[in-house]
Order: sequence, then C-alpha cells, then structure tokens
Amino acid sequence: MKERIKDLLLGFGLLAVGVVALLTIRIPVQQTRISSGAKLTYATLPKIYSWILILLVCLYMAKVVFAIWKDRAAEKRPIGGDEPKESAPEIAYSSQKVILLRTIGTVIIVLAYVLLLEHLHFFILTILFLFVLFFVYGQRSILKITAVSICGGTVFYILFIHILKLPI
Amino acid sequence: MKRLGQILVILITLFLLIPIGADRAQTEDYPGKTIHIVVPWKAGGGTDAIGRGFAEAMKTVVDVSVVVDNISGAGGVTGTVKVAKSRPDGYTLLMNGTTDMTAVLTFKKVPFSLDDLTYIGGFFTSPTWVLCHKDRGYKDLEDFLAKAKANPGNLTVGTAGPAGAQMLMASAIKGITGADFRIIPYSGGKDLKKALIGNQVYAGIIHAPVLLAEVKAGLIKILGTGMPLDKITYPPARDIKTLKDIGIPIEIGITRGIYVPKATPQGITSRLSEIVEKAAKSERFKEFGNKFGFAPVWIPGPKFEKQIRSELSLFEDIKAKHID
Amino acid sequence: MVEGLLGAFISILAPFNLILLFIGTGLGILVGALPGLSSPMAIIVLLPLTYSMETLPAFLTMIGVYVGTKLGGSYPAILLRTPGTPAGACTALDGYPMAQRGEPGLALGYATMGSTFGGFFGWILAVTCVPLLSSIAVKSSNADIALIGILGLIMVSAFVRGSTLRGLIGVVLGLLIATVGLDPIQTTSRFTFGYYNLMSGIPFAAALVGFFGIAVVLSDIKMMGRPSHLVTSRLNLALPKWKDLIARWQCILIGGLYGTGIGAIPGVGAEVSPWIAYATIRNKSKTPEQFGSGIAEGILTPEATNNANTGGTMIPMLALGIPGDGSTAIMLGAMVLHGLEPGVMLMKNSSDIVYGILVGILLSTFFMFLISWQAIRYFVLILRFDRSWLFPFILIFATLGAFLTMNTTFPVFIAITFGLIGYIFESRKFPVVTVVLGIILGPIIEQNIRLALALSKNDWYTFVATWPRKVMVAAILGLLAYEIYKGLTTKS
Repeated sequence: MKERIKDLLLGFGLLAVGVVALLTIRIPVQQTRISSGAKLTYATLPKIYSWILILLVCLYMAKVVFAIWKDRAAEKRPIGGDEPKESAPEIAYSSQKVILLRTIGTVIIVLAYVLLLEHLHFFILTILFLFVLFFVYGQRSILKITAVSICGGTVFYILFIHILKLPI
Repeated sequence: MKRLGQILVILITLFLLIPIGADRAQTEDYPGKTIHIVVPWKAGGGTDAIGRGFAEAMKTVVDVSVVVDNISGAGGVTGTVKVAKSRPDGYTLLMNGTTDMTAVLTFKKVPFSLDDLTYIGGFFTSPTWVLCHKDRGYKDLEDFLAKAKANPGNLTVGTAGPAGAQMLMASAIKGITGADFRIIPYSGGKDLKKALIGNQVYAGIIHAPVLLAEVKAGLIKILGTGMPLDKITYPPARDIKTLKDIGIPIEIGITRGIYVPKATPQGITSRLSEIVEKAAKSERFKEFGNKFGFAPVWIPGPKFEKQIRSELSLFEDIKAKHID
Repeated sequence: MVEGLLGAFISILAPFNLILLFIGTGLGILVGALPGLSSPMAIIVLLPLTYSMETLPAFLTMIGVYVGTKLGGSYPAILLRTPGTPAGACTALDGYPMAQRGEPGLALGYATMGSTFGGFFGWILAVTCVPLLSSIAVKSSNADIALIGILGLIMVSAFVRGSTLRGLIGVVLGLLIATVGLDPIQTTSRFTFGYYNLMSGIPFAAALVGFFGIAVVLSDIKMMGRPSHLVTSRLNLALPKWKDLIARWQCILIGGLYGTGIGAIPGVGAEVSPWIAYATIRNKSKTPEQFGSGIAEGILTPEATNNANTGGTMIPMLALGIPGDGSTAIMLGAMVLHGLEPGVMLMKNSSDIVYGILVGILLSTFFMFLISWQAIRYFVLILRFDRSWLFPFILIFATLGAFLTMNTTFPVFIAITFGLIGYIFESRKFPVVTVVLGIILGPIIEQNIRLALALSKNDWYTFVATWPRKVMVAAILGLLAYEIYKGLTTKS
C-alpha cells in the first residue's frame, strides 16, 4: 500500500513537470527571427513532449489507482481473494530507517563537498569527506577509517591535483 | 579518541599553512608560479588548438609552467565569467576570440560585459570566409549573389552556428545586397564542414582557416572573405576579394587575444603585455601559425580594446537592421 | 593500402613505440575502470606530454588510451553496477547479474572477448571499406541522421517490454529534458529560467555520471553492512571457453557492423550504438526474456559495438578531418599542434601517420586483450570489499569526474540532481535506461529534423527522397507495428 502511494507521488511529480514545461515554454525570453517560415519552431517539440508526458502519466496514475482499488476490494474478501502483491523483500542488512538516513546523509555530504571545494583545501576536504562517509556507512573502527581516509586522500590529491591539474 | 583528536588538529593546522605560504607572488616576482590560460571551449576545437599553441609559445618566454584549462559551456560564457570573477593577480588569463564574445553579447543577456576585462592584446587574426564546394561552379561571391537574386528563396547558405559572427555576416550580406538566400544554421563548425564537403549547401560561412586543407586540395572554393586574406599561408588565396571590395561595407573576422580581470594592477598587466607580445612574436608561435594557416599578429591592448568595442557596435547594428 | 599498413606495422615494431602503445592501453583500461574519468580527459592530460615526442609515438599513446577505455568502462559496470564510462552502461544490464550469480570472472571474460573480437572485426570492416564508409560519412545528411535517431528511439522499446508505460514515460521525460537550453536553430532560451549555465543544455556527461554513478550508490546503500555472499564464498574465476564465444558469433557480427557503421557517421554519436545493437540481438533471440538476467550475449554485443566504434570513428577523422566523438576531436586538435593538416589531404601528405594510427588501433586491441585477461583476477578482488568501503571512493570519482567535464561546479550539481532522479526512478521501478536514451537521442533527432526541413524548404518528402531513407522509414514503420502488436498480444 505504501508502495502505491509512493507511485502516485512520483506520478504527481511527473505531471507537475509536464504542466510546468507547457506553461513556461510560452514565454519567449529572447527571440530572433532567423529561420522564418519554419514549420517546427522552438516550442513545437517541447509542447508535443509535454502533452505526451501528461497523457502517459495520467494513464500511469489511473493504473495505480485501479490497483489500489483492487487491493482494497481484496482486503474485504479474506478467503480466496487476491493476495496484495508486494514486491519480494529485497536483501537488506540494516533497518529501513538507517538506510534512509544514510541515503539523505550521502546527498547532503556530497553537496557540502562541492560547495566547500572552492573554500577549503582539497586534501583536507577529501579526507574529511571520506572519513564522514565511512562513519555514516557504518564503519566503526576509528583507526581503520582514519588510515584509509588519509591514504585515499593522498592518492586523490596526487591524482587530481598533480596529474590532472584540477583547476579549483 | 583523544589521540585521534590531537592528530587531526596537527594535520589540519599543517595543511592550512600551505596556502598561506604559497601566496608569495608579488608584482616584482611576477610571474612566480604557474600561469593558467582559460580557454572557454571544449578541448579539440580550433580555439583550443590556438590556445595550446600559444601556451607552448609562452613557455619559451617565461620560466614558469603555463597550462591550459578548458572551462566550456554556454558558448564560451562560463569560462569568460569565471576569469572575470577570478583573482586579479595575473595568473588566470582568458584566451578567447573577439567575435565569440561580441556575438554572444549581441544575442543574449549574459552576466558579463566588455567592461569586466582588461585587454592585454590580440595575437591571431583570421577572417571569416565564404566557401562553396567546387561542383557548384560559382566564380566568386558576386557571381553567387547574382544567382541568388535571380533565384529568390532557393539558394542556401550554411553558417557555423545559429548565433555567432557567421550568422551576423550572412544576415548582413543578405540584408545589404537584398539577395534572398536561405540561411541554414548548423550547430557548429564541424557540422558545416561536413555539409560543405558533402555539397549539401550552396555556400557556407565559417572562420578561416577551417577547410584550408580542402581548399588547397581543390575540393572547396573560396568565394569571398570578410577581411583581407593577405596573412594566409596559402599564397593563391591572398587576393580573394573582401566584402568591402564588392560593395558590402562591413569587416568580419575573429581575433584571438588575452584578457585578464578588470581589477588587475597596472604593474602586472604591463609586465604581462610584454610577455604576451614576446610570445606572439616568438619563433615557436610563428611555426605554429605557419602550420595552422595564418601568420601571427600583435595588436597591443588599447588598440585591441577599441577593435572589440567597435565590433560589438557593428554587430548590434547588424542585428537591429537585418535580424530583428 | 596493404603496403601502407605493412610499412606502418614495421615502424611500430620499434620497442619505444610498442611500449608506449602498451602503456597507453593499460592506462586506458585503468582510466575507463574509474567512474567519472573518461577517455577525452585522459587524452587531454597526455597532450602536453606528447609535444616533446615524435608524432607517431604521441598518437600511439592516445590511441592506446582510446581503445583501453572502451573495455575498462565495463569493469565497474559488471562488478558494482556503476559504469566507468557511458559506453559501459549497457554492459551492466547482463554483466552485473552474471557477477552477482557468483561468476564475475566469466562476465569480465566475456566483456574482454567481446571487446577484442568486436574491435578486430570492426577494424577489418573499417580498413577494407574506407571508400564506402567515407562516402557514407560524407553523403549522410541531416535527414539520414534524424531517421537513424528515430530508429534508435523505437528500438528503445526493446528495453521496456516488461513495463511499457513506465518505459515510455521515461523516454518522453528524457526527450523533454534534452530540450533544455538554447533552441539549436532559433536560439530561443528554453527552460533556462535565467541560469546562463543552462544555455548549452543539460551537460550530458554529468547527467550520466549522476544516473549511473550517484543513483546506483544511493540505490545500493541498502546492500551495505554485512558482507554479501560473494565475499565469503569462493568467487568463480573461470573464464569463458572459446567454443562458448564461437557459438555466439552473431553478437560479434552485429556489434561490429553497428559499431563501425554508426561510428563512421559523424553527428549520430557512438553512445547510442551499444544500445541499438543490444536491442537488435534481443529482438532476434529465441529467448528474449533471458536478457537482463545475466546471459553472455548481453555482454558480448555491447562490448563488441564499443570497440568496433574505434575503427569506425577513424574513418571520418582520418579521411575527412571530422571528429566522431570527444576523443577524436582532441586527437584532431593534437594533429594540428603536431603540424599535421587534418582533412581530405591527410592521407596524401602524412600517410605514415594515418597507417600508423590504423595499425595502432589493431595492436592496441590485442594488447587490451592481453592486459585484461591477466587483470581480471585482480579486479574481481574488489568484490571482496563491502560497499561501505567502496562507495565513498566511487562518490569522489563521480563528483570530481563530473567537475572535470566542464571544470566548474555546475555539472556536479547536475550530477547530484540526476542522481536523485535516477534513485527515485529506480525505487519506483522505472527503467532509467529509457530516460538516458531520450536525453541522448533527443537533440540528435530534433536538430536534424529541423535542419533537414530547413534545407528542403519545409518539404517533408525529403525524408524519403533517397533509397537509404526509404529503407529506414520502412524499418521504422515496421518496427513500430511489430512493437504495438507485441505490446497488445503479450500481457504487459
């Protein structure tokens, strides 16, 4: 059931994308009349794509709603009814909450890394990045983490700064 | 845990000291460390080749390393903005073509203007020329324009980009002479190159010396040019008539030059001008120019700035009259 | 032709040249195996180093890197589901499941064999058909390229048959995303919302790093923690047997044809070719449902196509001076810097270099095989590490790799965004592949359709004006009908 809700949410998200696209394409910011008389203008294909997207997403959401309705109906008939089809439980070695935290943590840490790249020294920042990520991912031996972070940071430093001459 | 904390503190302190120590470069020491030339285009293009050739030439004039950074995107704007906003210490240079910047300023609203840069000098000028496949049989540009006037709406002229100097030149020619040819905006030089070799357009407008090899082989013919071709390394092309010669009073070509952020101190810019001038006149760069197709030039800073500003007003004029 | 090749072969046999070619190939495999780093990047870094070398050794090094990355990219694709280069993404479809089954050596072995023999076959095709291929390259016009793009798009349906609706949504979303930026003909800003960085559109390489690097990391976080069964059990290092390869000769044939053909037409882009080849083999197979579960054909075909591309892209580069992809563009620039004149005269004026490069590709493919065959057992050891150790490194490579595509932080934000999009899509069982194909093919189709119409004065007839185009349109309609039929008759 939760899965279906998430499907619906994604559907709404995609629908929003299509609608926003349709709305914003109508406002030409700058335009020049170079290829006059062309049948396909700058807006033709985006509009076509947006409409098809909206149509398909509506179909998709209809399917999801239909599946939810079927699930509800099945729950009311416990004997001989359709089992609510859940996807097979996937291999998971940690709890859902931990996984979610790690996922969000990853995104935040990567963002922080990029934003700080122009302000902090590459070497330190990379070591910190690795250190924090190892920790978030569940490694607990501080000595091991530090050692690997410093080694990794050094290798990356040599690779990206000296060999590839990364212009930060 | 405490041990770890101590180690970390020591490490961090040590490494924070490094950038402080490295900041020694003063005007008198200039250049004291690596110079970065930003080429705001992807590696492998014509501008990139010129930039790398120039970097090599600069290396023969200074003791420090000179590296090329390709910072591409938004038609050269990303790299240009990056340099305009960088530290004005003379170690981050921009190498770009005049029309690359003026064309983009003409067509788009971009977060920089010509006032954000100091102009060190221009070192490589190449006109924009009009080419056609040999099978088309035109004698020269006047012949082509006459045929275009006789066949309105039929002939096609490709440009190496939808919003660049070539497009401006094509629109200007079309507007001033009244010849009604269709302008086909290819997405880049290599697409137009392929179209010309494949004889898919009646004519094409592209920066020299692209397709010079094909001209030498007789496959492609030069119809006309936006500026005199007297510096080209292929003597038979030197007398091709320019637009001015046939009555179209505009001059379009591209000059590659070096720029730095506006706030760079006078001492550094004059020292840099000397270096760049020496590099432009060096044997190494002459060699490069020979192989690339044009002899190098040297246009000193103030003259260069005047050139680029008048080019911008020319482009805005063309756009207002013939495009909008 | 043959004397030229033999002559070049002999000059390459000089120890210095051979060593450089070998090192270049090894470097290429390594660079390919690191996610985020790609062949153009490595070649750019090598450029200044090659100025001091003679021309032939310089290009041998670059060719070695170019060929090596085609195989290297599939290593992490097979082992960790994160391709090292965009070309390796298709190999992950069957390579990763095979490795997860406990047969990583087999998967890497098939990848090596596919790359090698696809490379050989592509090379033979390219060298023997230079006149044919270069005339195709020259005569191909915008209408042809547009049709090829549409054909590729239809073939995408080979990947969506399990979930047609979701796959189609993915494709259309990809197409829509590809319209962001300046309109290619009228230069109107589309969906840029004032960010000048978006003027040249969504940087494609960064989006791929996001989809195939960051999204995979995010999705596979749940596999961290206790080591998977692969770490404790004995990894099967068995390499494929030759008879297994020979039985699947069709993969090499199709891969070679598509790789060389599509590589030789500038403007289409070699990125699509492994997917189209994969789709073709899948459609022709008697057991299409097995594709995606880890069968050898799914590895051999895309790998063969990738390496056949190296032969294909040489044709426009050497015969016409027109690059087919990022690496060949840089090599053309390097030619200018070394004093050569790329273009139609290159063959006449510098035939030794041209033949040298061609022989270099052949030898490099051979070296690639040697190096890879030995390296497999070491790369497989990566699987012994838990993902919590590997992923931070992959994230660094992905982040910095995205940075290196434009040398600014903008593409990294793109990569992160698409990483999130890919993660959300995967969790809702949307095939990410279709979005990628939409992003790749969108610009090709739109630009070329509009240019073709501009050339023909808005006359749609231009799309069936020549025989090749008529054939392609027939193929498009036929495939479309087939897919609709299949979609209606099988329960989706």
